[in-house]
Amino acid sequence: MIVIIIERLRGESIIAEDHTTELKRYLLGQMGEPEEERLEMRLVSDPGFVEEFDMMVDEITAAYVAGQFAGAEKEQVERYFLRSPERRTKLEFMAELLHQVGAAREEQPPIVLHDKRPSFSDRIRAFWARPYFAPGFATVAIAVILVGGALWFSRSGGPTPTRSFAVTLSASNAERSTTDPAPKIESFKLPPDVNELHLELLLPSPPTQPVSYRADFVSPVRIQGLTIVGQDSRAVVIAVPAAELKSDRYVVQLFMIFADGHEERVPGNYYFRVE
Amino acid sequence: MTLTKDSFDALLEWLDPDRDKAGQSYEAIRCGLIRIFVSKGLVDAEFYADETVDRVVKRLPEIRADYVNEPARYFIGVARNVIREALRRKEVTTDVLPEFPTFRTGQSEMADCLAKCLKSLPHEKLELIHDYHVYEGKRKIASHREMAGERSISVGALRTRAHHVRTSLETCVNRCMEDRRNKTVGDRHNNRAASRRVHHS
Repeated sequence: MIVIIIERLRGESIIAEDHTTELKRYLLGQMGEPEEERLEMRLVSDPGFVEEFDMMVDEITAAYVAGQFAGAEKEQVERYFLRSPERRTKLEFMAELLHQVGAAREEQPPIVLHDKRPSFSDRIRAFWARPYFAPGFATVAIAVILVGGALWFSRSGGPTPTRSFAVTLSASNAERSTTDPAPKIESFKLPPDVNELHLELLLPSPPTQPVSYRADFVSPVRIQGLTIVGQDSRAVVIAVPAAELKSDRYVVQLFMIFADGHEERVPGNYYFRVE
Repeated sequence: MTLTKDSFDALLEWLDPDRDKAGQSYEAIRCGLIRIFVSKGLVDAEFYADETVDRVVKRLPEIRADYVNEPARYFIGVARNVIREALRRKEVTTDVLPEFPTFRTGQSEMADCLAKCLKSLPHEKLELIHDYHVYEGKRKIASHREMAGERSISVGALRTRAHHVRTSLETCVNRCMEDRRNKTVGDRHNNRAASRRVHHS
């Protein structure tokens, strides 16, 4: 095996003119069918090649997390390489690993992938990036934040880790007809140490074209755009902070958002009761 | 179709007259098929790998006398048909990365599990995975060369070692998350059972 390592201008290493380049092209869907078949033959007959394949999957994933893909290649990674649930789970794992490894060395901001909505920390960063903040003022303000943060840490012992409680819900159409049976309401009590509820909303049928989702509470209060933490062809998972849930009956509605921007409600409601 | 002992034996015999080698070939084919199906975006890759094996087993009595190529090639042909059929039925994950899933590092069940798994790694493996991933760009290349030099191994061997540590971490994280899910389901079951007991009393 001849491995020639060259350096790109940006500094990361790529392995050129050998099978790892082929693997990368295969993984990004850049090969024709005959070439693909040749590579797949090796994949089913050479365990050493399978390991090389797995390493390349890891390296593409790590490079994506580190923001080393740009333009058309980045799009190719997103459209092709990351389309299977296994790869998206690996992406999450790699992002977490790189974050924790980095965090062990120095305090780093968390890595956020595909979060279109600015988070609290993003808003804080954007706030500080505004040009009218003179360095002197910023220094004073940072000092105040650091002192306040140190006091908070010394009192609280650090941030609370996220503990989630998962519930699976099926859609019920009971509201649409008086002849339908009463809706199936999943009833549960949130354990005291849980700070996030994960609701797995089962889809009545898999989508027939690419969609993203929006989930809303419609009862007892109307809240639009609940945080969606996962989706596949079977279900959509939303996360709700436990602190926002009181003992009550809740109704969630799910909407499919199509590529052209139009929305369509997933039939039925998702009911649950927090005891 | 479910594999019977006889049909599986016939498959192994076709793969190699040596039973051990046949077993290794079968494992290699199945592992490779799973990776192919994942790469093609099929949602349940293991199911499709089994489906491919089932189809080959079903055709085996007809083909084994005349088929002259390597058996692995036949599996690839069948797998390609399986992929085409799945594409026609649109059983492939959407071809656009959805806007979600959203995940924020450090705030998930996976984060908790990974922190736990990192703590359980032997010191030298922990150090290796930290050092391997701590730099980006040119510093990364220099760091990997330095690490390989310190260990008197090639950069390629270092890459393989780092991969093995990542794989063991991933396995540990998956097991941890599975345990937690089972515990959650168990807790819910116990809560419901306790609730039913209260109502019945």
